[in-house]
Amino acid sequence: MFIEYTWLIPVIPLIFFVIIGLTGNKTPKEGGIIAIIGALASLVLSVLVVYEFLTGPAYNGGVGYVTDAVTWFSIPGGFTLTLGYYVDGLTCVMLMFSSLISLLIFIYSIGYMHDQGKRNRRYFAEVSLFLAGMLGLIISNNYLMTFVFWEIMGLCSYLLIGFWSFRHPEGDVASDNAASAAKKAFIVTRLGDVSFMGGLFVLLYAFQSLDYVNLFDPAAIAAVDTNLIVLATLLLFGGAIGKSAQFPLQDWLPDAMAGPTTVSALIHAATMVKAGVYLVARSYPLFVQSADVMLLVGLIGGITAILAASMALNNMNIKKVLAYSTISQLGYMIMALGAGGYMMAIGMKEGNTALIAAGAAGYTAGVFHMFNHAFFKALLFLGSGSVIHSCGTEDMREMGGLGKKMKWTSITMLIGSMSIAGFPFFSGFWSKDLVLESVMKASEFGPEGYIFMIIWILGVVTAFMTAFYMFRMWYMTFAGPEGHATEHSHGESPSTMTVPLMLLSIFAFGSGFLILFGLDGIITISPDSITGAFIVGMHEGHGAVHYIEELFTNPYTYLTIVLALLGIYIAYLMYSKFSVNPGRFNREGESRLYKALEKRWWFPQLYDWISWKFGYGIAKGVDYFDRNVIDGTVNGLSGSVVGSGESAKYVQTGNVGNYASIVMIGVAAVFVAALILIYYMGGM
Amino acid sequence: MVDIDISWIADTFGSITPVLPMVLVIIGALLMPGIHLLLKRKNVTCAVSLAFVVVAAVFNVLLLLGHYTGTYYGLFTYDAFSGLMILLFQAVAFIAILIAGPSSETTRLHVGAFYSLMLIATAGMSFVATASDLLLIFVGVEMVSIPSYAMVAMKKKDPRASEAAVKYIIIGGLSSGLTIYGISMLFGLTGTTNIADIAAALATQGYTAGLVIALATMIAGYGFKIAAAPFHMWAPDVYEGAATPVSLFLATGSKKMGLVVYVKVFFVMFVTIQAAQPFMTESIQYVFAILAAITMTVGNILAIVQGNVKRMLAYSSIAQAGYMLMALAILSDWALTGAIYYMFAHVFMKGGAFVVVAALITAGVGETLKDYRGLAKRAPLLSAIMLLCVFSLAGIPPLAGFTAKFFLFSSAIIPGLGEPVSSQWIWLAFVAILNSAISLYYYAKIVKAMYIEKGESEEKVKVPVAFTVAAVLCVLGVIALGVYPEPFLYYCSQAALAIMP
Amino acid sequence: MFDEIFAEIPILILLLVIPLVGAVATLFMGGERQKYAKYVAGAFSGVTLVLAILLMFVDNTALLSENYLWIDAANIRISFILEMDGLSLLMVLLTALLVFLVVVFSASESDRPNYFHTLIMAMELGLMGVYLSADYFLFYIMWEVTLIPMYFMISWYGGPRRHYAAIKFFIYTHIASLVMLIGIFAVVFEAAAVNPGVIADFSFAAVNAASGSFGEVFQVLVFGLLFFGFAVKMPAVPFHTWLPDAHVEAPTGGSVLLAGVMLKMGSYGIIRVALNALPDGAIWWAEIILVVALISIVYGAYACIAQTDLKKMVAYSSINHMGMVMLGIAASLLYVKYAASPDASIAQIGIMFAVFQMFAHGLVTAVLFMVCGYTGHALGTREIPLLGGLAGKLPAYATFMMIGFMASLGLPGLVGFWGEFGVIFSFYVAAEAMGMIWLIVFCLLSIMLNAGFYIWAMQRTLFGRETTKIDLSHVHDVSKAEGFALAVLCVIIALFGIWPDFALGYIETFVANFAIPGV
Repeated sequence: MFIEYTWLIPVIPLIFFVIIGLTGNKTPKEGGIIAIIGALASLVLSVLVVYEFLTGPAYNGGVGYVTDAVTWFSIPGGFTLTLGYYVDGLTCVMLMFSSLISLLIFIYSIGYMHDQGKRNRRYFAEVSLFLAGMLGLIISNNYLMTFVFWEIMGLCSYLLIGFWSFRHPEGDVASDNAASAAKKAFIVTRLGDVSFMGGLFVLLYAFQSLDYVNLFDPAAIAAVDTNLIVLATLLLFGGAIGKSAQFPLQDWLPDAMAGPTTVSALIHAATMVKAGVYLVARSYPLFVQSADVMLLVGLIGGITAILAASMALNNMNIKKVLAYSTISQLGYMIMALGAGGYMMAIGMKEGNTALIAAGAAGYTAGVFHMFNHAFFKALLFLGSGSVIHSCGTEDMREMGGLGKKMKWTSITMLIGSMSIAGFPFFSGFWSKDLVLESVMKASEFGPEGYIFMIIWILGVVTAFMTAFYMFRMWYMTFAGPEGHATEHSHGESPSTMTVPLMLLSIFAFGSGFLILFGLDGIITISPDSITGAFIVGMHEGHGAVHYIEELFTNPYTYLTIVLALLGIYIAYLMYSKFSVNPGRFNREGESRLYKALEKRWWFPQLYDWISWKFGYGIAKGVDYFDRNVIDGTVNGLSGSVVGSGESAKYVQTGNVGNYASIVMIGVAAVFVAALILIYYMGGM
Repeated sequence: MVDIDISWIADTFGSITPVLPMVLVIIGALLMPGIHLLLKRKNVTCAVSLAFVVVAAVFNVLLLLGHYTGTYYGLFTYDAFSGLMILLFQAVAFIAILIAGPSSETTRLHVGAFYSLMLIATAGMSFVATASDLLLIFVGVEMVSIPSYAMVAMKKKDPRASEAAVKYIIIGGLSSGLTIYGISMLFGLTGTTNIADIAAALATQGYTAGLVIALATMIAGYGFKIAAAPFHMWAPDVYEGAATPVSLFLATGSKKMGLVVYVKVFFVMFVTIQAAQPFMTESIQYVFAILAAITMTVGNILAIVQGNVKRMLAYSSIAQAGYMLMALAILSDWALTGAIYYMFAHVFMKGGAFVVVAALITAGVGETLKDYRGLAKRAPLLSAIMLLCVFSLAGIPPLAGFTAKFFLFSSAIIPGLGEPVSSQWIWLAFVAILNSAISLYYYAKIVKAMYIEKGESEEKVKVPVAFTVAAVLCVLGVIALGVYPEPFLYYCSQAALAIMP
Repeated sequence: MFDEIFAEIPILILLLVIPLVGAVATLFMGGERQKYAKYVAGAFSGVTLVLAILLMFVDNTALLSENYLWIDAANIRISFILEMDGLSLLMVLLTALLVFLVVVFSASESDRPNYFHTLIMAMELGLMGVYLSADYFLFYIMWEVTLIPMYFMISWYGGPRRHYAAIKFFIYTHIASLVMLIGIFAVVFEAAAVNPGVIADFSFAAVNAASGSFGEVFQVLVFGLLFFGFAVKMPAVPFHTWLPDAHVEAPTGGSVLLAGVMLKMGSYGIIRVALNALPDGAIWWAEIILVVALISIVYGAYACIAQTDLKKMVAYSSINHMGMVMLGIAASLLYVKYAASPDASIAQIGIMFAVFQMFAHGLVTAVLFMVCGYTGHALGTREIPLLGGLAGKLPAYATFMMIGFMASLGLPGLVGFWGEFGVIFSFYVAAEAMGMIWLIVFCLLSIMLNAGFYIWAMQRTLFGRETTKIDLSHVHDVSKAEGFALAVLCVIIALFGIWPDFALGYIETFVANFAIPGV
């Protein structure tokens, strides 16, 4: 009864976006209230839909999804493109955390953005559109619609990252930075989007449709040339790389911190960057057609995870640290999906059901980590927002000792940090260990399995780094002596900000336990025994016992726990107890590694170099060619005509003698010409 | 089309009916000095001579509509072609005389003589149009040339005029010499001066260098009248030097007479012997093609750099002659139809342009592009007419110039309708098209001066009504021929068919 | 549903007559009355727009054709034929809409407004004629008729180098149309020649009927002539250099019509004339068309990046987007040429979306040029380096510019996306048939570059520090009239972006009856 109205979930915020955009300033909080109502409505409807689906026949023994669509338009040759919704386990999970977290962020924004005055209208309009984009992406029933909302999110991220791209409260330089950050975010992600678009063409050509129901139908897949599917999945993954800030397109995300912190929270936790992971998870039935593709996916994830983590180690900007942590955690998710898909692909080729089940576990781990990450990352960003709000700087060196002044913020931040660091029983712990476990498992199969061993090592090292830099951040901010920013801070933030923090911290701690109570059943994937069609969800969860056993009988779990604690301890020694001087690792700023990290492994330079050489450089050449060669030719031709006239004028001397002689020459010329022609014609 | 009974004309005038339009004009010419002596009124004399032209034109039109054909002792033949040509010459004369009256350039001393000469020249053109014998044609051409020399000289106190006249006479004499030389050689080769007989003779006997010389000299001699390059050098100086009504008369009238001669002599001759002497014909076709290409190109390129509108128009009419010469290269009925249509379009558009120039000179505005600046404000009507005329000359639809080019250039793609598209003359079409594109440049310069640039003075330009009337008549012709060509096209094709052997 | 009414009135002729009357009426509104000219023009263009919209609802297509004999002499026949199908309908709608909005947008034109509106209406007459005529003679006349008003538009109301730009535009495009004229002669007379006894009939129908029996060589040669004529108009690299100059100098209204509807004449001509009259020639030329299209796309996009004049950048982007149109046409031809067993309906995709791209580009580019025009007259300069941080001072302007740019760089949900999406997809299908799918890379590169230069331009124009190089103290945001015109366009852009089928429906019926060469 509600599920027929799934399409309303994105439409509500979309309508509210228009309303706020047109009449924002006349409504309370410059549209803030409307936005919150919109998010709340979407949340409520999402809950109802999810409930109805999970209790409905489709989920319990049915085909595993509910979908409905209207024809959008059709292309001659039997290509039909539709507009509709597609609800399955993955949809449910995404819907839940996206709408819930967005709602909390909106509420938080009322407090955080209160000093923005009329600008809030623009802010709340754009975040509503952002939410609409994400929800639309989640419920869409085909790749084209997904792409549309995907791009709408790209637009919103552009607008929101550049929210202060003009008349920045902190002056012109900040405006310029915001402007260029927005540009970078849009163009870099656009690179991925273009790849995604290419994937659409391949799929549409191959399947004559982009609807998930048709594309995920094993019969259809079997009928299509595998190379096409490999090409398509690679292109789709390119889209994911862009959106989810994977290596080598990860570098836009740190710059994106130029936007308001709430926007960062929205992008990192609830919407934008999750879209890439979602795309991979959603396209699993296609991705698992080739183990090599999945290997690549896992590898990219691993590289991203450690690369980003390394850059967070010595960064002094509280938001940048969180940004890198996001990238690194996204790397985990992609890593897990890659590992799971790798096993599933091999399993399907060998008809090995156990292996397929192991793959399913990897999928579960990836999605589960995304789910947990949403909560603790939202918490951390909003916490940092509260800190910045209070002491007006993002530089952690100027903070310190905030713990006393901002009790709630510090506590909630601590929960978030422990969660992401994988402290036992916090949500991050559960999912991260599942991720590493499935990667380890994947390394046992297939010829290229050993690569997953490398990836696993990368993952473990990353886990250690994560624990270190998160607590480095926490200690630098809340512990130790007071920095001068701390002295001028306003103390604790208003309740509109702290209440969401508390709520989120509950989830950040507890969301992990959901897997013990059946969430895994919702977010697992497996081929139907009869049709072989991939079905997300509709499994009995393995239950608490299974996972507790699984985790605590696995020696590597203890390894990661130890590494996490070690990281925390080192951070404690360095930044709270000050018994170890971080400078040692930097040899008084001479360390190459340190420079490399500061320079983000020179990725910004690389981007600039490419865009200047292959963008502006060629453009200049083209422009020169255009002005001088092509237009030069045109003007040259016309000029020569006029010029010849000028010179021919001198024949017209006005001397009648010349005229007469020219006439005679003419006679002679005609005579000669005639003779030549006749001879040529063969007349005589 | 329309069919009217004209037997009464034949009954009344008997055997002289075929030459009636010509004779009427000649009578006028003879009376004119006397009338002026009696009345001593410039405008009356002008009006009377106009009357004679009109009467002659009326009879001519009646004969045309009646599809009258007849011959006068085998010397003169009146058919659809000559009738149409006479009509054209009469139209030219009408416009020229109409504006000669009020023009400030024309003589005040020898008014009677001036109009008489104008009428004689007109008669001479009709003479050529009807004549069917080389010698007669020669006489006719001289009948036009000699009065023209005098008319050029008869300009009110302007040294340029006398200089122009001298040049005109010298080059004209040279050309006549060449022509008569060619005719005599042809006579020597074929023993006749009747065109049809010459063609017949040439069809049987082959090629000789003598024949080529004869053709070359005749092409040159009559090319002088057409002002086809390289026999055009006199034209700009003369047109610029002469009084504008006279320039108009020469540019639109005597130029067409030259074309008529080309058609009557070469076109007929080679169409006749095409079958018998394909090589000879084709080579001469190419001669004419080259002549046409050079003429239009030279005309246009030189026109670009002119600062004097009158001189620019002189060059532009050289170029226009080049277009019309295409007919002789293509040598088909459709091409000839297009050429005839083009002749009339040219009369109206070039005539209109010259009328405006004359009017502005009379009004004291001047004749250079600089004088034309901001004219749109000072003389809206004249500027509009000039605009239409030059755009028509440039071949912008839907004006006469475009329609004429449309018919003429299309004949370069297919020589005759219903035949397959031939690639033989497509290059000529390209040359012509490039030329009309180039020509747009200097025509646009006139428009730019009038409409876009700002002039020094703002006060309105006053011109005698006669100019306005003439200009309006011309521009009406331009529009009519452009928008509704059908009826006139019919007569053109009739004329073309009449001349085809 | 309006058939009863339209059965009574010759609506297609009204589409020509009303602008003509409007042009004449405004022409004589000199002196004191000239300030009312805009209302007259608005009324006439408004009525035309209403008629055009009503035409969308005519079911009985027989009503959408007028045929009168014009010249029937000396065995050539020229008729005055107006016909309307899906393609014409969209183009007519676009023309009517843009003309009306241009009149609204130019409400503040104070320099001889009556002549300004005369030119606008005259242009509408010519454009309507081009898109409706089904006779080569009429087609060519209307084609040329559009030139003169634009020439005066540029040289009267244009910028500093207007004389150069105007004459360049005039002569360059005139040469092109003359070459096209030769091609027209060729097809018409060949059509008369191939079946003896038939006289040279200039109607499209007569030529298309005979096109089957044209010789291969003839088709190849003549298609070259026609293609040149149309490629200059579109314009395709390397025949494009008249365009940037014309745009930079032209007034806003002129630019909007020039880019919005006049460039479409080129692609319209290729689809309507060249493909129908010379199918084999089209097939033979397919690869060359493809190369020209790809060069235009990439070259145009790169040229945009280097421009510092906002309007010149937008002008070059037109080259890029019209290249997309040509790509769609090429795709259809190539698919037919290379596919093992070409499917007639798949062959339609390219042309279908080429037409949609024409329509979309018309709408989007109008917004862009209006924004550029506002920039020019409000800020006194369009040099991007002199601008910056305008979003703070001019929010409405910034919003419209952003919508325009986003639509133009192909953001889904706005109309620009569907054109590119469909065209590139059709090209992908063709490339699959050719076995060269890597060619797609050029299209993706173009999308990337589009994003690049538009976003970069926005960063430098709207965002960052507020410029101090120009005096913003007396600058006001877009006026009501300008805002109205822009808003209407933006709404339409979003409308067709969300539901492209509004337009695709008409195009589908058109391509369904369209004879794709070779199938």
